[in-house]
Amino acid sequence: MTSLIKSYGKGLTGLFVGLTAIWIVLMILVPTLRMVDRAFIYEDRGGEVAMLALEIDRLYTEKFSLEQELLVLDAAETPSTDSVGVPSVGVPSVGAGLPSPSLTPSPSAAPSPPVPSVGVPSVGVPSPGAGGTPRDRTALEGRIATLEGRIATLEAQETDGSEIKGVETSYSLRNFTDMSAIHVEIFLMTLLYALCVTLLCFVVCYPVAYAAASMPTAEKLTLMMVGLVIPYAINELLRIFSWVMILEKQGILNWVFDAVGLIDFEAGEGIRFVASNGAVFTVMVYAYILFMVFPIYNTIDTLDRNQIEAARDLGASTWRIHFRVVIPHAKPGIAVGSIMTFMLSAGSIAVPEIVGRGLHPDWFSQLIYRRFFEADSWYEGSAYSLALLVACVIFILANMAIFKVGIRDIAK
Amino acid sequence: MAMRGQDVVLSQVSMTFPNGFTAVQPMDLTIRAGEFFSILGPSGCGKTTILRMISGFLDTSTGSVRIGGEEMTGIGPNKRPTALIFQNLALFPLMTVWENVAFGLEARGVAKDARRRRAEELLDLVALKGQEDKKPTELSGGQRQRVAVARALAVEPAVLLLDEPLSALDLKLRQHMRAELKAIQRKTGVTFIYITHDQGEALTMSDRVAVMNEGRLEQVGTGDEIYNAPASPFVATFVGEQNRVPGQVAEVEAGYARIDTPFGPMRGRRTEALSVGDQVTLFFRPERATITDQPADAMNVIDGTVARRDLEGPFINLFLKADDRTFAVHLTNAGDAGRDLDGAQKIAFSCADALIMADGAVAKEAAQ
Repeated sequence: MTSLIKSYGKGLTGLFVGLTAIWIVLMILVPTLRMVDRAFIYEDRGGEVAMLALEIDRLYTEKFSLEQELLVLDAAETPSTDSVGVPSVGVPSVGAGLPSPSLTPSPSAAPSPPVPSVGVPSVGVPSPGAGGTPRDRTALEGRIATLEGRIATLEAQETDGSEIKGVETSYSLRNFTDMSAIHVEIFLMTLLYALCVTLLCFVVCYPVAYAAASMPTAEKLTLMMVGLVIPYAINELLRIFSWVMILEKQGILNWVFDAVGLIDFEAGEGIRFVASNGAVFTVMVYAYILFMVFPIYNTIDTLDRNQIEAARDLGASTWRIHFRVVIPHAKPGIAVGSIMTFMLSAGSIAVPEIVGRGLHPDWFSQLIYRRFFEADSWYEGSAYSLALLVACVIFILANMAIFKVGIRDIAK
Repeated sequence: MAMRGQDVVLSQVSMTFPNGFTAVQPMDLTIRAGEFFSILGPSGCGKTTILRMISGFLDTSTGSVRIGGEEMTGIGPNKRPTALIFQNLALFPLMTVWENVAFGLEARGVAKDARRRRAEELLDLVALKGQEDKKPTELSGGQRQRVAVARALAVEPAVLLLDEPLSALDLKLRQHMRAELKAIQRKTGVTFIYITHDQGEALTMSDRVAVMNEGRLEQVGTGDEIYNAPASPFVATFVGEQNRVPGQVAEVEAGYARIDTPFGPMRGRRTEALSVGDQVTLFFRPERATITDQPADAMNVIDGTVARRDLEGPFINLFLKADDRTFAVHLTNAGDAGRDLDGAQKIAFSCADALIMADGAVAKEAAQ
């Protein structure tokens, strides 16, 4: 702090510290705390109050459709009163309009309407048609009144039942304990998949990072690093879609297979690579490769080359050199890379959504999305998010324990 | 411990790097089994390249390396009967001391108990008993040095290659380690090839020394030969201090030559054929010269003026100016040698201590 003031002055330091504090509070603390808070709020969607609310909703819908019927009737009546005694086509048109209530789901509306329309075969007789209409009107109006009465009673009950109008909420662990078996399975599988992606990423990235760190000339290294970075200038979605183009049944990979003669496009042959674990993993490894390569590269780069030569000179094989000398040295980098890759892949939504096509088993992140925006249950969504967050934190701690690295090593 | 040194024979070995730089000119060199052999030279003279060719990290451009009579071409560093001690030691910082020492055995598939026992034996040899379970970073510089030696000896090499391993140590420790290395070499009988730019190390420890310059062997011989009978102007000036007097051959005698110099006629030993009129340089060591009022007739004499007097404990270093040259004279700090000397003085040295050689490359700076 003092050194900051020394180098930047009080004003700038104050600004910097202030902005940091605002950032921490607004962007990290408040949302996280809100999420944790919501995660433990249980929304009783099956309870009495919720049932009441549902019933009220249903009654309103029914009332609305009856009112619509009434409007239709009014519209039909106005022309027919104007031209009394004149044989007109107006009546059948009313009759045609009448069956509509039977389409509404409410069972109470079913018995009455169709009868009059059927009973008006002669176009020339105005009286029966005119006589039928008022009876329907009264019936409809009567039913609407009954509905209004019930709604009022229910609403009164609801207001008595709880202070807050709507769904009853309470603090509980039920958001977690009520998670369905399928969701738990998806949660566990997502963690397993993310672990697979992390391992694959390590297997791919370690040789790359080692090669990069062993590059003898600066030019080659620059070329390699630029080659790694350039794909990241392209939007992530575009990168994912380009993989879809490759892996699609009509895609580039199958086209290559066709050209080689492994399959026959004409005959409709083709392997569906997308919507499989392999495809999702491949795209994820590609999407997060840089987050694994750079930390490992940085640590291997600091390894004294003489240690590798010393190990070789003492008779060690290439495998032994890597397992005993290089990897132990690169542990902090591997830990950082694994943490980043794991967190990113466990929380990834675009890749499983686009590459998985809904045919592939869900990732937990997709489930969270649907809790929030399709089930419209932010409390459950928060609970699911919190579960993922906790799992990721546990992964970080386990990772640090396994690699025996501390926060300080990682910071290095 | 059944270790046995083997000889190393380089025949027409040279090294040219892909960028065209020739680090080592074709050379023949035989290092005898069980000998402590030093390669002395300024940085960039190719001595480390030779070491790397012997250890197998570099392939020779031409010629062959034979160790114990066996051709080494195509054999990797992990399969050669050599062990290398790096300049920075290259201990494995994440392993304990004993794991470091036993690493070579681990690579050979020796069981853990046997490895540990062997590591303890070797640590005992280098006087590090009881430090087995420490990390190398917890040891002092000298102790780390000894771990590196133990680690290299663990694989029972026939040839131990040392790449300036003492250069990071301070003077006292360096002198101590010289004695220890020499003792370990005697005890084990392993052939030691020691790379250094420090003449003190080379002269004190070695059975024989090779002096290298610009990829060439200048001279191979015992320390005495190198110091007292240098074969070239480079060796003469690189090993130890030298005063130089330019001159022209006036008369050639058996083993000697007379020359004319700006300081008058002088006489000195010669090692090569010279003819009258050749441009030559006369070398004499500061410790072989004295200051005297009445030099003997046979002595070479230079008249100079004392410019500086440095007391270096056992020696008094005098610097005398004559014309535009400065000559150094080291007087033993005994008796009246320490008397105040200033003004005009006569530097005198015997003809046997003067060496006359045809002009050639001299060392840009003397070895430390």
